[in-house]
Amino acid sequence: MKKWKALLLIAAIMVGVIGCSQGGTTTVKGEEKGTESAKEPMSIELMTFSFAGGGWPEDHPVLKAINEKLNIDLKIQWVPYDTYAQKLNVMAASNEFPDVFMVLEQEYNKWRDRGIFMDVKPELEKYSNLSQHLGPEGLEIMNPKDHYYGLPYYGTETRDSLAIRQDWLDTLKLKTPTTVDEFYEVAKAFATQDPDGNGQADTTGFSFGIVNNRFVNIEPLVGAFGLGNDWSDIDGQLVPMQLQTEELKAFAEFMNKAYSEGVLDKDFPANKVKDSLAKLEAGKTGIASIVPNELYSATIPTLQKLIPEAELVQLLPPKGPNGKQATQTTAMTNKIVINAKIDPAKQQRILEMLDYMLSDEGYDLIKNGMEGTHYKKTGDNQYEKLGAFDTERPQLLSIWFFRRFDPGIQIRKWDNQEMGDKILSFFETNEKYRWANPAAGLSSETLIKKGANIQQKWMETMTQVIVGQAPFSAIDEAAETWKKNGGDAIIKEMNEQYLKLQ
Amino acid sequence: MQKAWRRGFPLYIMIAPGLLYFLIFRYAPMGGIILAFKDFDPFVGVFESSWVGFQHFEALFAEPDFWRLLKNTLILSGLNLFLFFPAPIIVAVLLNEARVKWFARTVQTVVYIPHFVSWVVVAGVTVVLFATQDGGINKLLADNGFSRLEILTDPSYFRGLYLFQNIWKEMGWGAIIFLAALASVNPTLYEAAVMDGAGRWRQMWHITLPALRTIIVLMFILRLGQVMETGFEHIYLLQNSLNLAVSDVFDTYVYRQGILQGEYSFTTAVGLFKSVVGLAFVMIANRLAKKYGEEGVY
Repeated sequence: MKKWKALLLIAAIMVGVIGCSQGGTTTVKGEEKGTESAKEPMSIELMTFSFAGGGWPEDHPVLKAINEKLNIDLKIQWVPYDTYAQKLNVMAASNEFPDVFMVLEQEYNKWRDRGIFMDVKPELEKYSNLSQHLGPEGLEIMNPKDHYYGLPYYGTETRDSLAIRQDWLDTLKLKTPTTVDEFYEVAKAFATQDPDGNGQADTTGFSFGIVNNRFVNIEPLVGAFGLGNDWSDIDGQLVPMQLQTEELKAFAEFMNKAYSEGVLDKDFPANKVKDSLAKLEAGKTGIASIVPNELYSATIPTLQKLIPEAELVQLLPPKGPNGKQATQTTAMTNKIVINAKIDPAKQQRILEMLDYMLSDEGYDLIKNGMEGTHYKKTGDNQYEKLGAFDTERPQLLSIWFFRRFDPGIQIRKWDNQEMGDKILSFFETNEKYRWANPAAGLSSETLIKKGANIQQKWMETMTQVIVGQAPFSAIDEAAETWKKNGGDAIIKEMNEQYLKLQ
Repeated sequence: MQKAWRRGFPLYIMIAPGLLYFLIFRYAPMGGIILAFKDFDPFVGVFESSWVGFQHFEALFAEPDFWRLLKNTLILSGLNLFLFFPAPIIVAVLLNEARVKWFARTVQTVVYIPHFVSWVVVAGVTVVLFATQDGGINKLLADNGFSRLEILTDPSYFRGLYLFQNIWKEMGWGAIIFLAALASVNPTLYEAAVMDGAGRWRQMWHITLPALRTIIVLMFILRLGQVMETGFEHIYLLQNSLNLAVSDVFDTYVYRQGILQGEYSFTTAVGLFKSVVGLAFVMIANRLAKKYGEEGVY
């Protein structure tokens, strides 16, 4: 009953909110002038996800600037990423969504054909910035040919990379590892030979986490053992990683050894998405996955504040037993959608707003902030960051909501050329080890209904095998259980969809 | 008739807010139960969704994990009922015995403060203390040559940790109602007992505990109604893929199915099943209580 009370309450609040926002909707006047300020003021509800630090306060200067420019009253609801899927499903239960919002892959697939997202394809030609700065592959993925029910949230597909403590390698006189075996030896030395020289056995070789029942921040090793990024294309057929039992056993054997010899962080089953990075930044672990965009502005400075001589460099994906190399590869499957049920005039105002966010002026605003407040001009094309940039974080809309197809999304006006190039070179290097999921964006009814549960059971066994609570043969049983409880249907449905696309 | 109405009018006004509260927030939402018998699709609405009878219940009982969920739920509930439940009573009785007022009051405040700490904070502190690799306690153990305790990931610690956290957090708060009952005991009873030569233990046995008996039975029966509720937040925060075998309960299952996968009707059925079990427990316990001369809850 508790759940129902909560739903009812949410429904009541949402009805109120939508009611209010629609109250402000009137027909657009002064079209012939075409200037934004001549239009009626309009309030727009926006919802997107947020990460560390949360969203903006309601009176944020960038928000004010957008509101004044477009004569709107933009209200942003920032929902922590960890609970975003939950939020969407609770909203769906009362069938009340904000005016414009971010949708995750599974929910987008589930609701795409239900008439709740506006088809933006016919509108694109009217908005030059949208059509110019959004790539076709992003627009097309997960959409039928003639309809785009959402705009893509750009992501650099091969963004993240492993990084290793160069100073530890030097101290222990080791070479940079290039294969998984060398990776193991180096990681073991990091864990056992006291690389930080403090006389205590308080370091581990590497760390990762399990989030939503997936191995995260360890993708290069998963791929090196020949496993797919969720799915592999084997002779034109999609095969899920759960059934690659031979590869899984090799992977689990490696991890099991690492766990029992103290090479792998013992807390990996309880680690959240950012924990392995935090341990790297705290000098507790020698190898972990990093986000290049933040490497020079956050990760290295944090680490060096603690250990001034620390040096962190990119570690290329180690070669697996069959010479495979892989890097973390994510598809652009998040979508920005406009509510199909709201007043068409309002939909146009939202498209205008999105178009503005990608225009030269608007993109500069949501990426770099405001001149004089967040940075200042010191010469021709010379800028200097001001303290308010770090405290007010004017870039949030561009990193957590909407942006151009721009790999340099986190490189600002004032960053020196060298740093920008370094970040971009990370992506270029990673690109060579692309480890794409051939089924990215595909969905299956059974996957949506049962996927989470059977994945959890499967991961339970995998984790038990790695820590030695279950024998390696349990991996075969886990694959059978996965198949029996819905996996067979998922494979069939996914392959049907996959064939259609060929 | 009219006279009675007029005389009672102020009383009806006073009842009204409470009555409305129950009607609006407790009874009206019960209408949602019909979802358990429908295939609810939010985009067509409650009334247009098709009826499916008991299909969702059949699916629940056929669920491969059903027995594991039931077992875990009942074991954690049992721990709460038999090991957690006495804790507040003991606290109340001990505080009642403390004759130095300021001491009793200080202890009472200290033990009920944890009630106001959210589970997120409790779980966070637990991780900081007990994490296998970097937790404070494990570091101390490792530095002194002991082996590390895998409190967070070894399933055999899970139930103990769950119970301990419950006791730590809610013991003091739960004691308040028993303290209130003890405050109403006539002090002359104690004086009379002392004159008859009763010591501390005798007074406790013959006066304090009998004074609490009715409220203990009442609280126990009410708790039985929540036998299927194990505290979602608390368990969810402690859960990881290594302790699932003991930590996966109906509450976390409902979260996964209902909120993450959007199976609203199915999870309503699970919720209804939980409520029916709880109701059955309350009715049985109430009947037993009456049989042994207690008042019960209805």
